[in-house]
Amino acid sequence: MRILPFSDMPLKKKITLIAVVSSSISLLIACFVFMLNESLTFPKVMRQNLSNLAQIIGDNSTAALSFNDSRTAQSLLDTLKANPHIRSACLYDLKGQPFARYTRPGEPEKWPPVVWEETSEFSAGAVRVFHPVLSAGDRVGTLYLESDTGEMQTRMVNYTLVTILVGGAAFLLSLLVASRLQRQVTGPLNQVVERMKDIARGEGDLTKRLEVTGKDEIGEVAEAFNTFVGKLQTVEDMKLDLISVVSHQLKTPVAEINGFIENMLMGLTGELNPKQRSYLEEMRVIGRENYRLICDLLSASKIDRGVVTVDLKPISTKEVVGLAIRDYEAPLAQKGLNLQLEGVWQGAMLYADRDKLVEALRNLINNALKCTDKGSITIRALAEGDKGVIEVEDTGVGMDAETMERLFTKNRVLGKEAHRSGAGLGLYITKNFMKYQNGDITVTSEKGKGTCFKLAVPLFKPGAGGAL
Amino acid sequence: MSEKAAILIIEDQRGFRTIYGDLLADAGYEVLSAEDGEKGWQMSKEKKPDLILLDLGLPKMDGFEVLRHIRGDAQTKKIPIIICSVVEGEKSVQKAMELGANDYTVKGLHAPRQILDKIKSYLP
Amino acid sequence: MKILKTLGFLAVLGLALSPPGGGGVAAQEFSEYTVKAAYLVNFIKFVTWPGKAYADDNGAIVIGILGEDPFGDTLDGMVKGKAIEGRSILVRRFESYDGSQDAALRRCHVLFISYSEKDRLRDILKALQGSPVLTVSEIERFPLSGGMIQFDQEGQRITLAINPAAAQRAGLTLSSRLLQVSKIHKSE
Repeated sequence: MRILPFSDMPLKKKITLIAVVSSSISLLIACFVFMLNESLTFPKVMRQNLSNLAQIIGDNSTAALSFNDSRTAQSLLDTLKANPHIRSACLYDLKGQPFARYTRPGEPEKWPPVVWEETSEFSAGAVRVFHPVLSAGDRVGTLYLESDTGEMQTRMVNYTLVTILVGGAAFLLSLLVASRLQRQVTGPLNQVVERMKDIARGEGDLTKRLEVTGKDEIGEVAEAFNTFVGKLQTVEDMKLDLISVVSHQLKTPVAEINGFIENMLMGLTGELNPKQRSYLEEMRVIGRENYRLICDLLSASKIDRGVVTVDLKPISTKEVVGLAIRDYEAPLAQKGLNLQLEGVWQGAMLYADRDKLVEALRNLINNALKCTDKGSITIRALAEGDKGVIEVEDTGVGMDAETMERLFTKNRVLGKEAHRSGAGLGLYITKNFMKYQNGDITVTSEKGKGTCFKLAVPLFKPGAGGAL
Repeated sequence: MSEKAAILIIEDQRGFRTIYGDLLADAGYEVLSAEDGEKGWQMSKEKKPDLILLDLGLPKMDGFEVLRHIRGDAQTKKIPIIICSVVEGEKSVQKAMELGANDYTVKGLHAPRQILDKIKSYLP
Repeated sequence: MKILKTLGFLAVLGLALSPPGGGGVAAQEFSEYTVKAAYLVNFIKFVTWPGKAYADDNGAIVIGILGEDPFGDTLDGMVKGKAIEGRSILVRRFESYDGSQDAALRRCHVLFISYSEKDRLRDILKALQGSPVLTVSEIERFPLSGGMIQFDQEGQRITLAINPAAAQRAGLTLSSRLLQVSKIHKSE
């Protein structure tokens, strides 16, 4: 598992990490300070304790010392066996000679020479005490006690264990709590991020708003986001409205110009010389493209605004194809292309919007015409399950996979293919309009061999109140 | 009474008036024109043309209103009316037909001369 | 003064005749009676007299010697200038018991009954009955006879034999530590 640099870590992990590290550090510092204090003060405590013990034993041995009873003194020291930490002890008489001695089992038998003053020291793993033994104010001897520092070590080990246990528990607990609480922050934030990504991809529903969960900065982000999206929405709406309005306004003048051109070509303004004729013919072509483009813009804008209406009625394949191929006989003949019709004349009944279906078919025929220089264009009607299918197949240039991917979107690659592809919105509109008719359009193509577009709409089933 | 048939063009756009006017004149018809609905209705009553080309988007009185009036008047109700509009769509066509129009063409979609074919079918 | 004090301290030195682990002074450095004198003084530290025992003599502690005095100057030297819990120590000597010293004897806190009084022991003890006097002696079977502390000997060592009941009857409290280092006897 790679450790990410902090700045790349997801927010969830960051927050959890911060919480856990903070609490761990605090805990560790506290423990460290505590243990440090212990290690500094405990030696004093140990010395004090040993001195106290020496006092007690000393007091008890006054008689033994006073009356020279070394046996009693010995048995007194022997009671030290009960304290596992006492390493050795020695009672000295007034001359400084050992009077009674004790060593812990297993310890080497050595006792230091007597020290007359009251001393206690903590060093080299041992606590040592020299304690004058007094009887009613008279000195009767000296007591030496030596203990190991095991007690302190045990304490330290215990503290370390407890620290580790508590530390571990605290770590887990803070991990648990942090990972629960981080949701408060990351949850709303992730929502915003996801939503933004959706919108950037173009898949976001601009009418949906984010839930504002709190008054903190996250809440502010959500609110700002909502406002922002609202503005986007407004801009979108304005754009669509603009397109719609402008397109409408453009339709009339364009139609007028086209009309003038037609009249001129008809000779109503007088005889035309070849140059004039060729100019006007060029203008006519362009004018028609203009008009088509405006119509497409209007259709696309309707689709985007969601205001498409469909008029579904039963209609025969025969009628649809008949209307579609009207006026195309001449251009086809001009290019030397064959038009084949298969299965069209059978009485298949479709349930669709006549104008839209015919328009779609005409569009496909137009495309096929543009992309094919030799061979034929075939219009094929057949049934597939509960759908009626009309195929338009050509022997034209075909398309590569990349082009096909973007075929039905608004983002078509136009460029050198433009003059063959026509006004780029056609297939986007067709795709959507087919959807509104409960149908679809699909394509197969091979570069250099040809293309086949397939329109499918529901078959008309009488008596069921409409389509299947 | 000339032997030419008279066609009334009710159309607010000057450009279209010119286009259709020239077209019809060249085809041998007498051309009358009105630039708004009210005038169109008046002229229909006065001149009783042989055919009316009616636009839908008219000022002062819109196309459907004019249609109603013409069809509502005994003197004019028999005159063939061809709707000539930028609006395409089944709904518009349906409404026009219901109100008594004889035919419907969409401006810009078909070459203006195709109108001539239609007119011929109503004025043999 | 200081020299005497030092002598006194050193006198308490155990003769270290048989310390555990060996090593120590073998021979008797100080005489037997120096040690016994020191012990007499030390007894005071381990015995508690009732309050009325201090009524006389300005609250001083009185060590009496009845009969032949084996201690000599040693004892006087030890007690001179010494105070135990703020009380000075006096030494009083008595001649052989003749029955007339009873009152004075009773005013002693510690009474050493010399070996010379062996035959008069019963009378002496009878006279002292009920008085808070710590009786010490070398006479044989002293505790059995009703005495409180007897100096005995075990090899080179001077040992103590104590009759705590006798002390208790006299109104004295003996420290358990003292009892610890002694042999306990009951009176017959």
